[in-house]
Amino acid sequence: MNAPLLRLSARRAAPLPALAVVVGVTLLAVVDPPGRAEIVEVSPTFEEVIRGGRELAARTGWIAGLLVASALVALFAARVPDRWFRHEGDWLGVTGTSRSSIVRTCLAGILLGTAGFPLVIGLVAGPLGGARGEPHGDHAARAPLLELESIAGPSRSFVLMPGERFEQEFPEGTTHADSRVRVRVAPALGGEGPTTLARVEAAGQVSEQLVARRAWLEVSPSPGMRRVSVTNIGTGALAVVGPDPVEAWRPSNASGAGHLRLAAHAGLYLVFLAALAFGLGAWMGPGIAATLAISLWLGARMALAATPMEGALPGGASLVAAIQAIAEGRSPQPLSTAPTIAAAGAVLTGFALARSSLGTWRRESRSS
Amino acid sequence: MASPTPDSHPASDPATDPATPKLAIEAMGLGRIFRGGLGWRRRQALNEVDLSIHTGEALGIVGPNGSGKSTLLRLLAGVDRPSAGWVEILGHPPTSRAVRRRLAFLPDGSPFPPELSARRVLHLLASLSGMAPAGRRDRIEQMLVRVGLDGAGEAPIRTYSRGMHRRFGLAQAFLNEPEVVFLDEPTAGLDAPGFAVLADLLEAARTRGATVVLASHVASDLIEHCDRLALLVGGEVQRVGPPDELLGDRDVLQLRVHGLSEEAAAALEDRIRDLGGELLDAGPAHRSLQELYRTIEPKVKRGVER
Repeated sequence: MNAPLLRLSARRAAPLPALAVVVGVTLLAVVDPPGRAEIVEVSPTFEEVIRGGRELAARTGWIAGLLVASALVALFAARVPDRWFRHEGDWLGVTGTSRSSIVRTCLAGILLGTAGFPLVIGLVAGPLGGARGEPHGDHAARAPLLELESIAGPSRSFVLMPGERFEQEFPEGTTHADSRVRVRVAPALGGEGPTTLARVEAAGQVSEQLVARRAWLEVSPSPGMRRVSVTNIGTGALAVVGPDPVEAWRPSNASGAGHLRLAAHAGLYLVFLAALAFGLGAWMGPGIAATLAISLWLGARMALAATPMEGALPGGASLVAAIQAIAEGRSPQPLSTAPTIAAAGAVLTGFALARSSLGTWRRESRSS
Repeated sequence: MASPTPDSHPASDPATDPATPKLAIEAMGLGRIFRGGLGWRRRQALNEVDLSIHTGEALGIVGPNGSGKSTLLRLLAGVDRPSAGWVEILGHPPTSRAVRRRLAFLPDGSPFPPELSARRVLHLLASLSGMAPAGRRDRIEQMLVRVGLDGAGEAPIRTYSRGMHRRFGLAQAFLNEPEVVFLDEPTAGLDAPGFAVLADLLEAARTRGATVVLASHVASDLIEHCDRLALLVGGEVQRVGPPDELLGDRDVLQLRVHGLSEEAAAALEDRIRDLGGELLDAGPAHRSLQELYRTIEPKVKRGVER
């Protein structure tokens, strides 16, 4: 792979002014007005209920930064092959390097440059953004970023009638002194009222919580806890538990690691977009190619919504869950195989599209 | 004439056939059709072009704007694909990797990455051409000095003037000591010292036996560098021959005389009329700009215009 061409493509995929724009947009979103907060969990005592400032600002920063970066990444990637056919083929086409190698190097450079966007967003929304936006208000809670330790329970949702109880056992060694356990519960119509009360018990720790909407019921169990139970003790709504209802979490060592993971999710999404835009840019103008690449992603996102494949699309459910995890002060899960394979498929598609367009370096409809 | 398909090539290899003169470039029935408006509009840019250029020869392609010179050079350099006919450079198709390492192309305009400095672009091109890293740096510095851009080697190419773009184009074309060189409008925008740079590079290339093809719409720019000229009009080669044969006018005699007094000059004019000739033009000759620069150095002569 030719190093100078790789550097040139990387530079063109992430020019400094574009990075500065994304940093600016993210920074604007991260600046947290005093008192901004959101209720993400409900408990009768209102302890650790309100998360504010830092996490919410980080989420807003990531969303704003990624929205702008998506358009820029697609456009810059599509402009690289456009340059070939406008004029640069005149010197690229007479070098001793093969066409496949040139396409491969340019694409690798673009993907390398694309990685710059999530990194700068992560820097601004994460470590830098954390310096401002401390939580405000009497009920604001500060907690270390949590790392998912294990998930347990049936993979399908089920209903707890009033008075019914659900128990879940953890595998040995998956909960520790600093672990926290949460159970996903939501109210459902069919009972006598719209809400209900749920009791969560884990090794002597008992917590009773109102379930008025989908909520995570939390307990901090004692070391070596093996079992957690949820009882619908209300007389109102039915309680829907699941899917995969029980999660055990541990405090993470570094909050930056969470943003790094989110950057990986975001990077995979941008790589997917850039590779598609690059391949399409070899066949059509850069504006149309960028728009089409984004539209294709959007179409796939809508088509896969609420299907088992939802998490397979880069930038789909896994990215949304990762951003939400950051907003809740939790560490996103690592990249899974399915979206990684999908992104790799997009890279291969981009390469194949661009390479097949190179019968000639001259495209009279584009030459200037 | 039959038009072979773009991919068909002659069975024998003319470059290695001892019975025929060694040809560096051979093109037969070359045609190029441009399509526009979803393929409905067709424009024949080149039609049935045949060319045979011997190793070490310099051929100039002249013709008016839009006659197909740049298209022909792109086809010869392998940047574009012909709609009809075939091309061979050094016995191989121009797109073959073996040939591309041995040829160079100076395209019209300035297609090089504008955001990079001349030095960086030369490094990029040298590495893409497979030039050994060991001597690359020295060779690049040498070329920058040779074309007069050593003082501007770190400036982004987008800041260059038109003449500087052309000098840079010459530097990249001759960087790798190519065996076959295609130069499209090499004199466009060049100042007088730039013409000298071009002449120097062409002379060095021809001394080592390189084959050169130059294209320009100004025939006078090419005459002194070319063994033959090809006149291209409307996408077709109308005539090929030595410059004197193609452009010479046997009815008009051109004299340049040095050292005559005004009286002697007047007497010479009278004598010409007495002999039945018609004096078309007479007067003091103009010095070349380069000669003028020499008289006022070092205030103006910097080698590079900004």
